[in-house]
Amino acid sequence: MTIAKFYQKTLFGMFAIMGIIVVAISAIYTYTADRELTGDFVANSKTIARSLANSTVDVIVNQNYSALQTVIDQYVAISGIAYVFVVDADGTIVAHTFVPGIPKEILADYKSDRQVYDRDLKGLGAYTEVTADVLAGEAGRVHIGMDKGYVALRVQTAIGKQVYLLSILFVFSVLISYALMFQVSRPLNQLIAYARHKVAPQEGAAAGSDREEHLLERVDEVGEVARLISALADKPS
Amino acid sequence: MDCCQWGKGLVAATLLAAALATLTGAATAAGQATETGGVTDTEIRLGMSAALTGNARGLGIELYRGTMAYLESVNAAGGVNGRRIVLKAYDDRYEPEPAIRNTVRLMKDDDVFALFDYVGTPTMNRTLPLLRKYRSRHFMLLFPFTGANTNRIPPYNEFSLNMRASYAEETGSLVDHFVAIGRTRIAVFYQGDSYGRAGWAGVRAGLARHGLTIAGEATYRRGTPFSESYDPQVAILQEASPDAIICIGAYGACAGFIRDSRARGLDVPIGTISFVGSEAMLDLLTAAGETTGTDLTSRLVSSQVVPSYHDATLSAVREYLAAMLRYRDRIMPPAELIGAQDEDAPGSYQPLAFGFTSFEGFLNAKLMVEILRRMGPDPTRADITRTAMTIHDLDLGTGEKLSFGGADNARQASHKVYFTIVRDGRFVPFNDADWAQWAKP
Repeated sequence: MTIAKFYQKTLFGMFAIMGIIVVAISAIYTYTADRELTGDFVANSKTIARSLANSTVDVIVNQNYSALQTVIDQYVAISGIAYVFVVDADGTIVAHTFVPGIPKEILADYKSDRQVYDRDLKGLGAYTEVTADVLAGEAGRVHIGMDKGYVALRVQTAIGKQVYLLSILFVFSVLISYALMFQVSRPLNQLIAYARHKVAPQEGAAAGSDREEHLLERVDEVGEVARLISALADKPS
Repeated sequence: MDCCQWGKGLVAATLLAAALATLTGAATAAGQATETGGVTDTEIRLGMSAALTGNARGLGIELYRGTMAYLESVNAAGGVNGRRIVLKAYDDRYEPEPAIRNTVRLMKDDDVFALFDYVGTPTMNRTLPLLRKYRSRHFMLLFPFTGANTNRIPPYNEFSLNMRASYAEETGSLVDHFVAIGRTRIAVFYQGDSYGRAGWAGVRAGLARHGLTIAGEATYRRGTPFSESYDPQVAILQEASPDAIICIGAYGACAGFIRDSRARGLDVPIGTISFVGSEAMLDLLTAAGETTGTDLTSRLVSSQVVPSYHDATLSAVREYLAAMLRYRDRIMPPAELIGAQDEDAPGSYQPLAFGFTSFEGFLNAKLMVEILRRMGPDPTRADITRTAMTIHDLDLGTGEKLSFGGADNARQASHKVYFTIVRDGRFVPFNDADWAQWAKP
């Protein structure tokens, strides 16, 4: 199955443009999805931290740490939340969800006023930690660690779906373009074979009388050229 | 509308209202007929949610057995005011969500007289709000197998009565004894949930009274079995160089931690509290020690909230031992809850002849029956607290006086903490003078 040479260049050009479009759309989508999903994730984390801080005021003030632990244990069941810990007004971690212990990186740095930490915990992974004050900080502070791996997975999944769809469309476009080009090229190839047959009947490919008739009967440009070739070939030299 | 039509309409409306009132009355009467408040002419129903399967099943099953041993003897003698005491139990696997569902079922479907013998802090903490929600029906949680303070302080203390000492009292007492012998660097190994946190808070508060802080801490996930390695936790605590360690966990995890601590050379005294399930822990440690040829039970102290069941000088102990022997074939939880138990089948639960947990269940039942007797022939849920508050200096046969109420409106009958160590393969009393042998060199 061959395609006319000048159409091959056109086809290659089309594929190149389509490829550039697919790559460009994917890149823009990746950037946008990453930024927006990550932004949403941090925003949601802050809301969760605020909600937790507000709902645990009484148990923290009453030093009912068992009840406090009950509450934070339920929060780590939320997808993406990797850990929770609560620091009291004296700076002591009074409840947490770490097993087998509180990571050293956290023990070394959890008392600053920062609202968002980026944590790399050895052997555990990378996290974005958001904080919320309990009673404006008078009763302590809640820390929630969001798993960056989970965010990355969400972004990759969203991007993956988009790129997958674009790739399928690209492959379909290539196949359809190729088929269309072939449809256009076929009468031209027949015309060439017909011309060769007329010019050198003993060398050219045998042109069936039916196909010859078919070419000559066409009402388009191919038929017109075929008739001209036929007239020129039949004209006595 | 003319006056005749208006009159007919009024008559019709009146008849309809009367019919509706009759129907409503009948429905209410029917509702009252089915709502017995957990008391019928022949029985009083108590409801229990506990770990009857899973890694903590030894606690729930033994508590149930001890309770049933006493209830069987009471029922055999005619019950309380002619009514049998029935214990309706459900398995929650020591997980909060099933415990909540079980509690709803006990309240709404089984219509129990009271919730009784619940096992565990994470389960109890999550079910307490149900008592508040249904406060109009006066449900009470009586004598849960936990020392957490959630049901001992507002807002849930009004819905619960406790027999046992609290975790704060147990851990505080352990801390006091360790500090008294010069072991001031105390670390905590605890279950990473509300139970562990309650114990952790008790240790922290106990140390604070001496101007000390926790030397180090490590956690494990609830349900972690004995077979798991506890080396990461041991390594964390080793870094803290503790003089003593207090374990707040269930028997499997505590036994695993002790095994791995000794294997890594961490040989300081280790204390556990009553919830651990001492005999089950001892069985695991003994078996592991026989395998490795080491003694894993030395320098191990367990606090208890009931006296030693080996002390036959106590009338409650004699009564308990006799009942456990007499009813041993009739006091296992129903097979539909724990599965068919075949002695030879792997994974089957082998009940203990005696133990601290079943003894506590026995004493819980004794106290419960005492309250029911004091309530007279028409017990109601609403009257439970008032009746319990009449109990002052009651001796159940342990030599200790139990009291509710008083000036501080106490809702915990006992504050007594006992200490035991392993000697000749069993837990025996460890008296104050004995602690000196573990003094820090």
